[in-house]
Amino acid sequence: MNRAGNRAGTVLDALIDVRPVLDRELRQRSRTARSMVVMTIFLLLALGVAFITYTGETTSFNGEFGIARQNVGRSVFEWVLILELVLLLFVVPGISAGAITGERDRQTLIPLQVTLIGPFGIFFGKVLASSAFVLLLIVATAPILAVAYLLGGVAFSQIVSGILALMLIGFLLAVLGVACSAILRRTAAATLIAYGVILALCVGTAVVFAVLMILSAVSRNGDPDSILAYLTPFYWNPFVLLAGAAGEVSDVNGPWPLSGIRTGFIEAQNINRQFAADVAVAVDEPGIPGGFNERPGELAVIPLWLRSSLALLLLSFVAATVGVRRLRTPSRSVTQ
Amino acid sequence: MELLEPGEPRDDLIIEARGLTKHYGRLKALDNVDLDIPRGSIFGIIGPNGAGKSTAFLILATLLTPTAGWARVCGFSPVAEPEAVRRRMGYMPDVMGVYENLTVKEYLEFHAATYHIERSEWASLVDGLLELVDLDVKRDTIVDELSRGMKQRLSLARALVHDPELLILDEPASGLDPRARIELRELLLQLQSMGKSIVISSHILAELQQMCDAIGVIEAGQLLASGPPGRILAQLGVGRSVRVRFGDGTIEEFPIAGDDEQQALLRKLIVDDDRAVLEFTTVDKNLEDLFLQITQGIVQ
Repeated sequence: MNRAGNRAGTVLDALIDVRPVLDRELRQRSRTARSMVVMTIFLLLALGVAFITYTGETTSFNGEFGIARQNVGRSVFEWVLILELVLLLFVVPGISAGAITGERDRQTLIPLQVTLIGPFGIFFGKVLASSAFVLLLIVATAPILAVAYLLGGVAFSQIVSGILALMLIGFLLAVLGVACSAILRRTAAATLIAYGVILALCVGTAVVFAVLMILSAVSRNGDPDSILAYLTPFYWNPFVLLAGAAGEVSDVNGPWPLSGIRTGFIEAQNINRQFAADVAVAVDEPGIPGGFNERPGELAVIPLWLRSSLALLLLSFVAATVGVRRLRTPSRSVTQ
Repeated sequence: MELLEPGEPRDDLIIEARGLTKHYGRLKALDNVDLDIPRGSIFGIIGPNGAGKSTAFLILATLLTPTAGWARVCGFSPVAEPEAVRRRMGYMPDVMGVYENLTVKEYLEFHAATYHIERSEWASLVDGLLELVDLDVKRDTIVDELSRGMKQRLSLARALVHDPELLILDEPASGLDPRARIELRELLLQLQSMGKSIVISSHILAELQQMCDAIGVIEAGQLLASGPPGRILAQLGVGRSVRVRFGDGTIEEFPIAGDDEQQALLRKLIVDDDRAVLEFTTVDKNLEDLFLQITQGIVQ
């Protein structure tokens, strides 16, 4: 009898299947200079932004346009978070979009596909390897966020939730990148599409949201579906998740960079609440069922961060499903 | 794919296929191929580039679904029961991919993990495989730094990592120097003596002829002939011929089946046709000649 081990084919077995690819990827990554270079640049930029923000805020604090000193910490915190998110948006697709296409280019995918680990193990081994690098980058910058905490104006729980939000976004970006890599044949095309999807998430959703806000304000008493329409794209934006995780929704009055997003959420909620009340009167219902709408008086029962997390996890699930299916064999065609 | 398989799996066959067909759009990569490969044998598949050899191997190796027909590998369907086939089959593609920054030992350990082999077994497993393919002194060398011949042997070790019953080897001797080819041939014969069944495609036909118990000739997706090499050559009329140089300087070649026919030919030329024969040479043809004829489209 041959040596291949026996497994029952449970969910746990599928998770264990991730390990060989993850182990190998991490081992290889740790031996290249690129990871160290990326981390060094990441840290230097985070330090630079923290320093510039601190210097700028404390200088203006002494002048007439200054803000309260206790809020300097929040400003540093939010700017560093934004920088980290922007860097992740650039770095993660760069390392994940070549994950499967790289295997094809090196002719190593087919030997992997005839083993027992299956498409799930291959896909999530790659995703977790990219996510592990993201984790390393975020943990490496944690001391900078700790300094922001010491400066005041930001709660410890917000620092933790901000870091967790970055990790979740990093995971989503890794899933998107690896999915593009599984679906497309060439690394360049996979990278381009991954960046395109991210651009659509960051900029496209904001544009659609703004347009729908305007349309909705104009036709306040129009089609009730418009409420769902203008709220939905809002949550697919990674910056929205970051804003929701890094501060209270009520933190809208400060001059901090993420306040604008939270203000948008409140505005949208206000229109939604007013509209829901109008519709409730019209149809004798207390609210509009489904979607992200609240009944009157139930503003933000589901927190902003949770709505956005669910939206982005749903997107990850869809991308992962497509990616895993693409790696399944036997298939109708094989890319060698 | 038609999954209905007639009858029970035959114990004496490691691979059984009927009507195996693969279309890519209008291109027929494989056209109604039947295969019966005995357990414990070395079966060679020859044919020009694009003949359908790799397509057949990809189907048998559970990577590709056929458009029609069915196959049974180690007693299981590669389409409906791919995992059962993968447990029992080792596949070596025509190009060996390598990972950057991995040593030979780590490369084999990684593949041991992909077959769910317990970590406690890795050390003895890797030692045994490296000794088998004569790479034990290279265990800590980065894979990418190995010569092509060494990479091929390592790729073979990878295919053997889970101790499969069957090896499917796509052009394993491609690009190897003569010494490496001989070493590979010796290794495959050793594996056969260990009870492995081997299916191999190659352009190094002399070696294929020496080591294969049977061959299949494939062209344009069709299996032209299948059986022991000598029988195939005779069947396709390229086994033996006589080259004759006549008094007027012309040279002609006549296919013959045996010694009797050779004598009859000589008598016919000299006595019946009254031609001056200056030279009469027997030419034994081999798979190389068959391959040349196939690629020239002579064999139809």
